[in-house]
Parts: sequence; C-alpha cells; structure tokens
Amino acid sequence: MRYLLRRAGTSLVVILGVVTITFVVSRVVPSDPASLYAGPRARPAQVEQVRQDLKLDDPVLTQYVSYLGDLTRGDLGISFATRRPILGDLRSFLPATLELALLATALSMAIGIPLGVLASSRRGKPKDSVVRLFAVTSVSVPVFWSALILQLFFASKLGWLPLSGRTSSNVEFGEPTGFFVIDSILSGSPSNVWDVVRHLALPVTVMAAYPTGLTVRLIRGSMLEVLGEPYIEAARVGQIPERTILYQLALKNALAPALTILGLTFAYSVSSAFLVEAVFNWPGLGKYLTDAIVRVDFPVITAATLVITVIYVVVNLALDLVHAKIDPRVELS
Amino acid sequence: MGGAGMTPPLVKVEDLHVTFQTPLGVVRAVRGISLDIAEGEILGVVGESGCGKSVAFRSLVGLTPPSALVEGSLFFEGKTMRFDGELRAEASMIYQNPGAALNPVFTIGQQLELVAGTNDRAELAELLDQVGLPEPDRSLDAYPHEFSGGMRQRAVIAFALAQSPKLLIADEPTTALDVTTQAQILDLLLEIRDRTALTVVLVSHDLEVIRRVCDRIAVLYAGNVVEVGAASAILQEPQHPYTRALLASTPRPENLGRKLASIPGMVPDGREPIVGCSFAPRCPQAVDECRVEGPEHRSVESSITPGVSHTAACVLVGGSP
Repeated sequence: MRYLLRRAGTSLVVILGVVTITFVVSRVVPSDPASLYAGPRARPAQVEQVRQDLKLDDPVLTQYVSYLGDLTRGDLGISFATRRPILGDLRSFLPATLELALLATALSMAIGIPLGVLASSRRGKPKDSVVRLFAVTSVSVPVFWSALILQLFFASKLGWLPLSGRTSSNVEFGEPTGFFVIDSILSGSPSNVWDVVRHLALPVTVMAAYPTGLTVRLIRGSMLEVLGEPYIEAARVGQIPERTILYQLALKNALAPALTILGLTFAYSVSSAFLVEAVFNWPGLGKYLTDAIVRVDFPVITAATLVITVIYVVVNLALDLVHAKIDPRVELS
Repeated sequence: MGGAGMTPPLVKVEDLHVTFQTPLGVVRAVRGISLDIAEGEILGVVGESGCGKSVAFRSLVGLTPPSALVEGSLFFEGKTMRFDGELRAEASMIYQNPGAALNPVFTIGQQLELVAGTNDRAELAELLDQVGLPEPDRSLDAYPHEFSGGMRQRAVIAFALAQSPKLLIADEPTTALDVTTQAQILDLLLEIRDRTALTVVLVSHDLEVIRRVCDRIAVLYAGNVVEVGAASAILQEPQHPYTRALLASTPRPENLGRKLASIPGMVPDGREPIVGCSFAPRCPQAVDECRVEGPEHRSVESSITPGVSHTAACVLVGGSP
C-alpha cells in the first residue's frame, strides 16, 4: 500500500512534467488559437474578442496555473476547432482505441506466447523455422499495407467482413462504457454483439500483427535461456511431463522479462493507432489526435498527450505489480 | 564389502564413452568406463576436475547436451537401458548448486507436488520432514530464495526422494555448502540410505567427503576408472600411483604442518588421443611399458583385511611388471 502511494506520487510528477512541457510548447509555437476558434471568416475585432474571452493574452504563467486548476477539477478544456468539451470527446474516442489495443494485445499474447514456447522447444527444427518466419513477417509488414490487403480480400472480394467503422449504420445501442463489445452485450441482442465483433475483426488483426511477432521472438528468446537452467534439467530428471515443464515451470520464468516490453507495446499501440484508425475509419484517439494536429488545436493535443502519458504510467505500474506477482524475488520498494 | 561380486549389481555400466563435438575438435570426456554399482551401497566417485566424473554419471540419466555422443551399455537390474533418460524412472539426482536446481518462481510445495504426484499437504510435508527441514508445513509455502543453502539442498533431496528412486546420483552435493552444512547433508544421506536401502553414487572431488560416507570408491582419471574397490582398501592401501598422489594431496590432521603434495602436470586434454596409461606423463613411477599399452585392471588382496580385494589399472600392481 505504501508502495502504491509512493508510485502514485512519482507518477504525478511524471504527468505534471509532461503537461508542463506540452503546455509550454503549445504557447511557444507560432500559431493563432484565437483565429482558429473564431473561424475562418471572423473579423479581426471578433478574433480579438475571442482572444480576451479565452484569456489568451494573459501571461503564460497565469494561463498555466489556471490550466492546472482546471485539470485538478477534471476539466480538460474545450477544443478550439469544434468548441466541444474535450472530456466528452475523449469519452467516446478513447474507449474506441482502448478496445482495439486491448483486444489486439490479448490476441497477440494468445497467439504469440504458445508459438514462442513451441519454437523454443523445437529449437532448430522445421517448426521453429516456420514460427520464426511467421514472427519476422508479422513484425515487418507495414500496418497500412496489411490493412489494405485484408480489406481487399475479406471485405471487398469475399464480403465476409465489413470494410470499416465500429458498427453497421443500422445497428444502434446505448453506449454506457464506450467499449462496444461490452455495450453490445449489455444491449442484450446477440446480433448487436456479432456486428461489433465483425467490425473489430480486421482492425484488431492488423493491430495485433506487430506485437504478435514481437511476443513470439521475446518468449522464444527468454524460454531458450530458461530451458538451459539447472532447475529445468532437474524437472526433467524428476519426470515431470514435458508440457508441464514448458508451459508452467519454464514459461513463468520466461514471462517476466518479456512482459515489460509487451506492456510497453500495448501503450505504444494506443499512441500509434492512428494508421489503423485511418484505414478503418475508426473513430478513435488516433484519429482525434491527428485531426487536432492538422488544425493545431492545442487544447486537444495537450489533453491527448496527457491521456497517453497516463496510459504509459498506469501500464508501467501494472507491469511492475504483475512482475512482482510472477517473481517472488522482486520486492516492491 | 567385497564389491559387487555375488549378487547381480543394481547398475552395470560397460565401456561408457561420452564424446563432444566442439568447434575446437572432438573432446573425449569419458573413455570407456566400466563399473558395477551394488544395491544399497554408497559408491564414491572421485577424481580431479575434468576427469569426466560428472559427465559420466549425468549421461546415465540422459543429462548430456545434444552435441554429446554417448556410447556403451547400461544395465539396471539386469535390464538394458538407453542413455536418453530411460533410467529416470529408477534414478534421481541431486546437484552441486541446490539454489539453481530449484525453480525460483514456484514454492517448494508447488514443485514438490509435481515430482511427488500428489497434492496431499500432509504427505508433502512428511517428505520435507524426512529430510530434516524445520517446520515442514510452513516450508511448503516458502520460495527457494527464502531458504539457506543447506535447506535448499534438503529440499532438492526431498524432490529426489519423492520419486521413490532406487538409485540416487549425487553430483558434488556438498561442494557449494559450508563445512558444517556439508556434514549435515552427508549424515542425512547416510541416514536415508540406512532407512530406505537406497543406492547412492556420490560424485565428488573431495576425498574427505568420500571418506566420510562411502562403502566403495571408484577413482577416475582422464575419463576412465583407474582404481575401484572397498573404501577402506583404497584409502589405506591405494595401489594406483594416481590414487596415492590424490590421497597425498588431501589435507589430513596427521599431516599437520607438512607441505601438501600436489600432482605435477595436468589432466590430459580431452582432444588428445591417449596412448598407453593416461597417467604415465605425470606418474613418478612410470616405466617404458606404461607409454605403450593401456594397463588392464589387476586385482590386489588386502594385507589388512584378508579376503578383501580391489582392482587398479596399473602395470605395477601385483608385483613387478
């Protein structure tokens, strides 16, 4: 518990640092938020009015302090381009991306871990070569290319899966969580769930490709190391079934070093989701952020950066907790 | 203690060769070991580092790297066995470094459960109790890193015994432990042997360890047995010059204040072919014949205990060559 409090403290420092840097950068970069807010046809007087309303003429320090004050109240500000509150936007965009990234990570582990174990247990044999080829392929194929190929094949040619979007246009249900898998299940209609799953299939597959290959390689590597340990020899002499040795005794040891990188891959896939989201017209954080970057919509950029930072911090903390859970020698202090 | 003459031996090893293909050439680690192990005995296997003692006995339970070629015959209770680990059904092992032989991320109980094939807590605790672990029930929930070296070795012994083996191969089981813990572990092995009639092979470079517990001793040099027989005979009347040199280089209370002898030269390189006696280049008594032909094992009658004999592979044994 004390550990958690201390970690929360250091996390706050990290987050504050990131907020400060993005805030300062947004005020230093030459751009005119007021004219963005006022719209393209606004007269100079109107722009000036907006500048005063938004307190953009205040000293940077004053703006910074009031921004931090807003943040502590959970107010992320409003978009200069759309004038909508950013928090409300994030409520729908963030779950869309998290849903993709979580499912992609789960899929990559479900496929990558067993394949990595298999490859390590057949080192140098044909199965190992096949798995390694698969791993290299899946890390090296660019996301936009695999996305287009899959769309072409499964959506256009075979018509098995929808081309893009989160749901079909005629499907509607309440969105209490923003995670459509959960929301569609809550709606109680199996056809809704099926529609959501069909829409998720292609983008999740595309997003999972890189982490899957990475998982295979990491797990294979750390498994090979562990399989050479004396305690594995001892387990073999002890006639413990090879399956148990591989998937329990060895894997738990091999997981810890791989997990750190896999967790960071998850956080990375959240922040780099924009390519997948662009191809699949997925209303997620990546799309939201790229739109904001194009318009130099700084409150949105700052808020999105903040969210991504928080995700990294939370993932890191979670990884450390999981690591301590797996390896009793790790002390949380 | 006349060796394994009357009843058929529990384990019989014939002409065992272990060869490694390495980038530097072919290394012959074991060169034709033949050995009988009688049921219920503690056989000490002694020799310098690099004489092939660990490799030889690890190969019996299939613990050789994939690059190793194991040749020879292995019989267990008269049945032919392969070297691929078939013997694991009858034999278990304890290791030089008990810390490394325990899985760091599972509790002692979780690991013991897998080898013992039962999850009955009382039974598992009983297994730990038998090897003298304090608070056996609590120890089940402990992780290896929470144990001292001696406790870890006791846990490893418990794992080995959990499979109810007939043969226990102890590969330098006390080397990594301090002297008092060494003594405790050796006493434990003796106690277990007395209680269960377990057969033990104790591989060690430490003659003091061997002296303390072994019934019979096999002295290995350059991948072969140079002298084998009852412990008392070998320790009191060593015949092979190598055994004598090994005994002379071991610190003993009666030699207090005297300079320890060391054996000049080194164990022959496993890559070099051996012509004649492998010890000849370092042997103070070597004669011309030693460099020509490998000596056969010759039997020697003990002068102290009549009727007891042991064998040594030296041309000088049993009178002049």
